[in-house]
Amino acid sequence: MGWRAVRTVWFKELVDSVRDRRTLVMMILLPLILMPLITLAGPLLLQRQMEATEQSLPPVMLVGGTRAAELADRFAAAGVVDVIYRTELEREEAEQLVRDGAFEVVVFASQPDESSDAPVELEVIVQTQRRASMDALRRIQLQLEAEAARIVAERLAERGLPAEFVEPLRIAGIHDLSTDDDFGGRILGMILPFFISMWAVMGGMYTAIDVAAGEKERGTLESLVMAPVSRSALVLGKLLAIATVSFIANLLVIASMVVTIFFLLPRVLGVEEMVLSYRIEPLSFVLMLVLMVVFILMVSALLLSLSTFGKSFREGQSYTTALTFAVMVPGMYFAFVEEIHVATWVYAVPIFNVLLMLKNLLEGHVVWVNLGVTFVSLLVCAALSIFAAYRLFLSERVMFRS
Amino acid sequence: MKDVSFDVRPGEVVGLLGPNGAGKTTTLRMLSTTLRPTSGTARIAGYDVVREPDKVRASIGVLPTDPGLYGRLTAEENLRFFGRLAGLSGAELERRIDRLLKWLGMDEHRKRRTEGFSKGMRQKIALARSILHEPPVLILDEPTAGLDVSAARTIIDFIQESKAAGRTVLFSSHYLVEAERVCDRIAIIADGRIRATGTPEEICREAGADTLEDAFLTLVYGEQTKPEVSLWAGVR
Repeated sequence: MGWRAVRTVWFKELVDSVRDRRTLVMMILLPLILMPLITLAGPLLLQRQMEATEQSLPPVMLVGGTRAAELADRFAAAGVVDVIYRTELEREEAEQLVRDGAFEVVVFASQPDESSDAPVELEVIVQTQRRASMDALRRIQLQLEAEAARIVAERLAERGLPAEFVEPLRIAGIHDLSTDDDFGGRILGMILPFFISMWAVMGGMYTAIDVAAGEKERGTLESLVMAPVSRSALVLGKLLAIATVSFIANLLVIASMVVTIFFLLPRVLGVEEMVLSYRIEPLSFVLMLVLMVVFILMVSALLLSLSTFGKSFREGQSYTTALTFAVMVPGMYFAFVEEIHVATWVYAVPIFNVLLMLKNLLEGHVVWVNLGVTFVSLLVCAALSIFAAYRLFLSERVMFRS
Repeated sequence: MKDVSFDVRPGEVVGLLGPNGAGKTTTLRMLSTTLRPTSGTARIAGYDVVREPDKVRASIGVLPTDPGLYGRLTAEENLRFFGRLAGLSGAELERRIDRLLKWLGMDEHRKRRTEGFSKGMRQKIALARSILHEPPVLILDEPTAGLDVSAARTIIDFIQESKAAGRTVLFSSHYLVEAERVCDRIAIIADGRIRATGTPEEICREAGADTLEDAFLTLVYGEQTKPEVSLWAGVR
């Protein structure tokens, strides 16, 4: 196998690939435009919804005697809910009102003797599956806590007792050792491993389909294998082309996510005082890149094998899409679930190990044994995947499936 | 394929003739090392197709049934790519590309992507690709199939000029007139077996026929009998 032949195939596949609109969309358009849009759309919509909820006053009804009327006055004065007071109401009627959405919450208040310390008992009718109803309940609870604190303070004063009487323990201060960089690392650790692993597959997917299944469909593969060049050179050249496209797509995804999170997000949300900073150790950064390269080589070889097995572009696409799901599911799990004290053997499992180790590197907590296990596992898998692709290229049954 | 055995001498043009599905393409694919025979072997330019496939590929120029050009690459990019795979580079490669494109009348289309080419134009570029590395042996699979008269003429000229230049040509076809015109010898193949080999005259003699077409029909389908009914019988 000559390096010259490998390089020839590699560069030709790259030129051929970037002239294909599908590759350009996956490699450039999605990472640079769609991913930031998706990332910004979620928080922005959530913020809009929260603002809309905050600004509206949910309708609440208080039912009972003078104690209920008193509470209704306090709620109205606080201006946190739109409160209506009724002296009497049937329970069924109250439930119907909440069910219909006429009131988000109906509260029945008991009427204990005013001279006793017996508590006013409140029965709350709410519909927890409705966001507005839950929001009204939250507001009422906060208001009740304030009201209870006020009553306790009055009673303590009447009896000549200090405030400490009902506060035997008190947190004097919280000293947070986390830095803004830690916060930035945590955000990136949550988001980037998922996107990096996803784009290792999606970035090079169309190139992989194009250079194997696509070649079969267009009838160019036969001419190629008749050329005076070894199959290993063909496989390696194609593999490097897939990996290159995938790596570029990954770099674009990282750049676009960093700009989105640290620059665009605070401005879009209108909270420019939001402190998001991040600093990564040079060694961690280099290790992250090397890890990406090895993972991308492994994934590219798998993509090439799956695509080679397909007899048409469509079939190649079906096979390679399966790999997307194999990465997406653990990717989402590790993005949202914080795994603490992960056993070393987990780092031997491909995909899991990349997701975990990238997170570790971004958060600055790397256990060297785990890093070693990750690299060995990925290198072995990459070598096996490349060998599998080579064997498939030697198989007449696979190469000339029709 | 079974018991397929024939030889092509240096500088000779041999046609492999047979009906569709006879095994012509399979035979040529085995000779060009794309398919590996389950048993037996062949030697091309002194190299064994099973044991020395790399050396065989360097000695042959192949034109498959499908031109197999990269549509998103231009004509010259396609040739440059295959030329480099054959170990050519620099001024020598460019000189050969220029010469071939001019000979084929494709020079003005060299910067165009081949996805917009007609079948004839693609076949011409594929032909140029097959001889860029100036191999001693050419293997052409149905080179004129589906081409217009002008493009087919270019292919025939190409075969004749290659023979004049001392190249050995093996090509498959089911166009008997074309084969008779350019071939020194013919091998007739059907159902994966060689039925006859020899010059057109020898084949006719062996089949006891006056024309190559009759000889072909006899060797491939056996004695020809007239249908018992007339095509237009009873039709006014």
